[in-house]
Amino acid sequence: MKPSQLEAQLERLHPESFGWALSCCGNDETEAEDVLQTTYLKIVTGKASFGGRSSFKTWVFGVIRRTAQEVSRRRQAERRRTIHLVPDELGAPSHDDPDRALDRAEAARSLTEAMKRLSDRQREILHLVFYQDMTISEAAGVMGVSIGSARTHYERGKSRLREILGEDENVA
Amino acid sequence: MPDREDRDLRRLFQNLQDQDRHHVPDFQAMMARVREEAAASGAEIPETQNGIRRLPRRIPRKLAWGGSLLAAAAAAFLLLVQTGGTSDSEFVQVVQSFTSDPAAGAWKSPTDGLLDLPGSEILSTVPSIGGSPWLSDPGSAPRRNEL
Repeated sequence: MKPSQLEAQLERLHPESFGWALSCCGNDETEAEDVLQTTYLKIVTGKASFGGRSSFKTWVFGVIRRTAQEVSRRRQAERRRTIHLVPDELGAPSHDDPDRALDRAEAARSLTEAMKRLSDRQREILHLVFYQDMTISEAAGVMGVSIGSARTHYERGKSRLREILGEDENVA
Repeated sequence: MPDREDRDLRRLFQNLQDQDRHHVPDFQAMMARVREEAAASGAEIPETQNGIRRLPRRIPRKLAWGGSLLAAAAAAFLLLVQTGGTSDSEFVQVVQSFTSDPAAGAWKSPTDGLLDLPGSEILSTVPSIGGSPWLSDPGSAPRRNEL
């Protein structure tokens, strides 16, 4: 793949890659940016090269996941736990009325918090399937697990997420 | 794939995705930082027209495999040829040593041992009489009165 094509592909995937990096970093925006930048550096310098055995997106997501694990290990001692309350959304231009925008921001926050209570594997599979619109098979490729294992994490993750979201609703 | 009843979750994730999009960092700015970092680390990536640097061409995987197989085959062939040559040359060497020095190359059957019977050495040896100390040194022989 030519460098210009590589950059175009990365740019096209950039928003989704950032979403995945956020998920891999426990929604720490600063760390997600760091992870994404390191991932791009690996790709541009050829430390990570696309072998064509999977889709480009699956491969990039795999690199992001591994990089996030490396960064997480490096930062374990000084890890900052930023609860992402999405304050910018409240002031961001929106076509919704203020109440609706607030509801949406609140729903996103609830989901983010609920996701944090899942196991890593469950969080990853649910993000890849529902957020990134991947199949379970593609998600298994990103996670480096068998399809059977991915399906188990998927089913258990869904049940657990519904349980947590239900608890939150009852509390509210 | 998500089921029909997973629409609620899909809607929630879609909303989360919409919210996250407001925070996506600028791609070009990030790539600029990547290039700076690559340059600082001394990575060899020459500039191209759109800013991404070209990497040195890698040897295609198939070509690398083919080369390895070819090298292995050549090594195996050389080994076989060399082994064959060694056995021939060893044989020639044995024959030459036998013709030049028959004693050194005297051949002995591995079943020769079966012909060895107890006491058979008597048939092939002659008792020696020259080994007596008295014959070699008459002065040391006992005198008649000493006996």
